Amino acid sequence: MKHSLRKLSPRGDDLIAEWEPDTVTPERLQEIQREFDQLMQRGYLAADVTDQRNVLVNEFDPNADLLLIPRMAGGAGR
Amino acid sequence: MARDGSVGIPCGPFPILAPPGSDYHVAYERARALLCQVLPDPDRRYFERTNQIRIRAASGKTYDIAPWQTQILDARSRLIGRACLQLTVPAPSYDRMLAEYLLLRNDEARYWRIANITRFSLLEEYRSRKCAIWLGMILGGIVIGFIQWWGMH
Repeated sequence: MKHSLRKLSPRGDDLIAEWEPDTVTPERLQEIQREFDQLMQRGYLAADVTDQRNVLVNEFDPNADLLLIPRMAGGAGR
Repeated sequence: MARDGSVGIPCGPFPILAPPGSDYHVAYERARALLCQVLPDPDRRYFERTNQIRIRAASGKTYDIAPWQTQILDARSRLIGRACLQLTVPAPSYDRMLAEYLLLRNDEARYWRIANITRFSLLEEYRSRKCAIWLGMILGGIVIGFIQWWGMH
């Protein structure tokens, strides 16, 4: 079963990486985790959206579908 | 041009103004599909019917997340405020709605720290309704006057 790492973007969402836990190499997994960590350091929030779990997470999980949300800020209001 | 290289992708709640097949439309539809994929079935059905997401948070407050704004209701479904939150990258409205949903579902306190929240008082609500009623009466008078004039000619 494939898992993915996506982030919200001007195009709706961008697929950063896709992998199968059974066949992915440890090196590739480390690469994906590095990308994940870099975006988290930039203020992104991560959510595990596997099977509609929809929980925020702080660490990379190779067995989950992860969605990265850019930093948010208060809007203009009324 | 945006920092990420995207060009000319306006993001707002009015995709009908963009031609089908345009970058905006593609992004809009993609964001909507992702939202539908992430939402649990009851929430997704509500969204497909109303184009809004309704979530009851841990505090008991209900949030109606719409493409243009989010309304906050208390435990008795009375409007107590409006929230405005945005992503720091340009993105379709549905992405912002998804972000709000995930944040409210998991960390409502953080949502209140980040969002710009305007609280409502009954007095303000009364004033705005009174103003709306007066405006409605004036416009109604104009329409009736026009119909009468039209009937005479």
